[in-house]
Amino acid sequence: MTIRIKRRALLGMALAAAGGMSGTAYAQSWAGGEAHEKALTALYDEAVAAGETQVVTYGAYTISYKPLWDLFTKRFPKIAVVGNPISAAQLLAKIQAEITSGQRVVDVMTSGITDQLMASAQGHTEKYQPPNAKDALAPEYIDPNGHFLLTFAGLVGIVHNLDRMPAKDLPRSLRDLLDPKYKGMVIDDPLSGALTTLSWTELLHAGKIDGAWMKAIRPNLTVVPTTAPYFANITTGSIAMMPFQTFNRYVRLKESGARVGFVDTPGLATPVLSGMSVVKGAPHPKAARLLMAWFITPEAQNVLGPLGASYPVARGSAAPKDWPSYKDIAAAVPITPITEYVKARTALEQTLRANFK
Amino acid sequence: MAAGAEISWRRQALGRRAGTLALVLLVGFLFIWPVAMLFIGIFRSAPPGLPGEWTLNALVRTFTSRDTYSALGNSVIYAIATTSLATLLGAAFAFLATRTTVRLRQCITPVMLLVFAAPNLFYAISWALLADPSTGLLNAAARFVTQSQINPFNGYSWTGLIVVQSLKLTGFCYLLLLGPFEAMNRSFEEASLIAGAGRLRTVLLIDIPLMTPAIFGVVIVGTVFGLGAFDIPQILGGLAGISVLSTEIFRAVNFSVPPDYARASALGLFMVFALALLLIIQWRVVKAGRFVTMTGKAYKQDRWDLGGWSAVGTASIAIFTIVALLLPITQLVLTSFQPAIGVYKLTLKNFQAVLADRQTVRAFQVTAELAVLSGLLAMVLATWFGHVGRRSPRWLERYLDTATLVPIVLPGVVLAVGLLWAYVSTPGLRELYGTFWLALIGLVVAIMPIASRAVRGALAQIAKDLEEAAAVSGASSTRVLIDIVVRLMSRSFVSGWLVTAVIAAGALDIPLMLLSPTQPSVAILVYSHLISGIPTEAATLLVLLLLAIIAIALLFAGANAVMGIVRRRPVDHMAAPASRTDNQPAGGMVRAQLERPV
Repeated sequence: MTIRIKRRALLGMALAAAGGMSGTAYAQSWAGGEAHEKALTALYDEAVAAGETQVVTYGAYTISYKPLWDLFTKRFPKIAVVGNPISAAQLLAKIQAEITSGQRVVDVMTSGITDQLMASAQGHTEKYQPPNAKDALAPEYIDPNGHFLLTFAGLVGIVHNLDRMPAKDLPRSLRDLLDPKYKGMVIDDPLSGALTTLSWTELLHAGKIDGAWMKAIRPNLTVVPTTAPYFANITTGSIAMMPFQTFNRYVRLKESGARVGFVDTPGLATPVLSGMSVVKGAPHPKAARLLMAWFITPEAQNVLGPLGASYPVARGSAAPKDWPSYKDIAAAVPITPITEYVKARTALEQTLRANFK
Repeated sequence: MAAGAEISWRRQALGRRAGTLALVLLVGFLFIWPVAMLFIGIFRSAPPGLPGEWTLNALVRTFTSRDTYSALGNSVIYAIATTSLATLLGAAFAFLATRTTVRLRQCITPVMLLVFAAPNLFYAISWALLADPSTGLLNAAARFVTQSQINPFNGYSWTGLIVVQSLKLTGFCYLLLLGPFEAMNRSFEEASLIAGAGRLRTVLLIDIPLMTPAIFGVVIVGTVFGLGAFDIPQILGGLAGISVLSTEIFRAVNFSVPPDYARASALGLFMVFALALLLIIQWRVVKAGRFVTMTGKAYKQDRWDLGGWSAVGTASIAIFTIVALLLPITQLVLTSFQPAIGVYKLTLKNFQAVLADRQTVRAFQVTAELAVLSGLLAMVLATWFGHVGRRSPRWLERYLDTATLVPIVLPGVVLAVGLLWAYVSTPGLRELYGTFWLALIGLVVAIMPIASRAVRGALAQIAKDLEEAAAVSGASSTRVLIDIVVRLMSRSFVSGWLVTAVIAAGALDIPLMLLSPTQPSVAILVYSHLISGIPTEAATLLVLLLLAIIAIALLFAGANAVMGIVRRRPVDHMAAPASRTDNQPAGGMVRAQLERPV
């Protein structure tokens, strides 16, 4: 598929939508209702009274979310958001070091479900549920143990160069990917905790792939530690397509004029969820709670698409209309519930170690 | 009187022992402990600092894996090939710059500095784009010139890997060899020429053997650099299916959940073995006094006119400048004006976005402070350790030499983790975590191997009798260090400072782990933009960083030129030698050394 995106136009639409959505009552004010406006304003006042002028967040998207953070600062002018785009092992090691040293920097983890589960299991995140959480989010987006919320979603599919890999040559199913004509596909290590891991965890849990499929696809793959440096190769065409890539990257490339497409076929593309949590002992705890609460307001969720290239998850919020249907893709590959995720991830690792070398 | 002298002597001896002990502890704390923390991790079931059990699991797992030996074999080929090529090129260009009258020789040092200053990551990306097998500019040019469909260039290959890394490494080798080449005594060459040897024979039999200590230092650092090189193997080697030790270590630390520090440390053992082997070779080859070229006696510094070969030298300089600098820089600048890599439309959007970011200015300030201070501190410590080592028992000299090289055995990301755990597990020091000061210490530790190699080569050329003469004349150890050693090696010191400062300015891993994100360096911002999928803004930041480095280098050179002119005036009136070709007294040589602009 291809999409046309004009960021400013979408921002205008999204802000208008956030200001006066005709959907649920929740979405009728920037915070989702008068009570929530008051609660968030109280959080802001408390943070300002405590002298908290910034909130530091770690996570892969925290730099590309800068337009969102600017919007937050526009709403709460005395608090700035500082991002640090580390994730997975680096993120957890840094938090551990901050805790051990007592030199705390990070306030909020904005990261994938694996990181959230590991951090909460290690006792690094505090139990916190924003005052608007239950109104904003369906129960499956709230950690039953109260440590984190799943606050945004993404799609993982195939990014391809339109000239080197035209639509007629694209794979239509996971089985098509086993065809030797697709040899040379570049993916990140499925054991690394990055996108391939997230996608394959969902696919394996949904019964869409198994050990035999992993063994069969291996000859077609070039496995690298991280695919981040290779996006340029997609735009130049020296890599025809990259499977198990995020829709977020595709949107960014498309915005800048690259001739790329995204395969969003349900069953081939997978949904992935990410979340936020307040780190225990955060130096700016009140501002951290405010950021987490704000992120699930209609004001933030309705601009997640145009400003963050991510899908919103809050009730009544909407992604840009010309984006692939998250609902259809999640219907084909249902999201693994939080309570089953650790088990699903362990199953993936075991299957990989037995079949994918 | 005798008893008083005895007590005084004993006090001095006690003071010396206490000083030695303090030095041993300081060096051990700064350089060995962070690495030791990691290596302890090989035998632990949990990351360093966390509760766990002792186990051999990681060791067995690593040393019985075929992947390990495949990566080791690739690393050895890569390190040897790139170091050989880069040392050869670096030495050749250092010779052209310092010993000949070829045209464009004045361009070599700035070119090498820029090649060296270009961060590895973008050098790799630029070359990946230039030598892309289908759409690269080089292949497009080849197709245009031959009017055919040939694609002779492929960056994603062994050849691509080795050529690109060698070009990058040549800048580094050249800068380390420049000081020793300039300080070399020409009278040996003259004697050789008078004795009937030709110029080529003189170069092979006089110059190269005299340069052995410096060349060995460069070969050691280059080889270990090759073993630890990450960005170029990751980007070019990844698509070619070539994995090396550094990419395996990086994978273990950064892409295993939880991080597999034990495997990373076990893989690092190979680099320790390689370093130990190279050091033993160096100690055997470079024996005290064999390579002294800078003595209290007069010597000549005239240049050679290469005659018909001058054109070849000039052409080599021009070709290297185009290939190693202009092509990748052009690609980098082009990228900074593109909306996306590979999209050939020009825009100022990247510059507007970068300059509008409040963190950009702060990042440049932090980078400048870190680079200048860490480079200076590393060179001061390296000079101090080198000077003390020369006057100490062999065990202490080797301890200082080895300890300051230890950090180079691990890639930056692993060393950063070691530093992190070493400091956060120490009460009283853990408060440094997340501050500018720990990042500064970390960078000093990381660049110390380069500083110590730069200093060691220069020190090997200073005769010990100069120091002994000063000491006999009553100069204290500190005064000998400052007035004799530092002054005689001032050019090597400044070159080393520049080199280490440039490395520190482009360093990513250590600031990333040790600096607070609220005060990022430029490299951290570049990395942030890269992994956030905005490589064009990352390129823009790098272009600005390169411009800043060039501006500072020009200011520095200008200031030195002015200082040189100011200093030269009174010397002219003091009947100092009119020309460098004249035989000079030792004092005149020292002044000439100090007067020349760097």
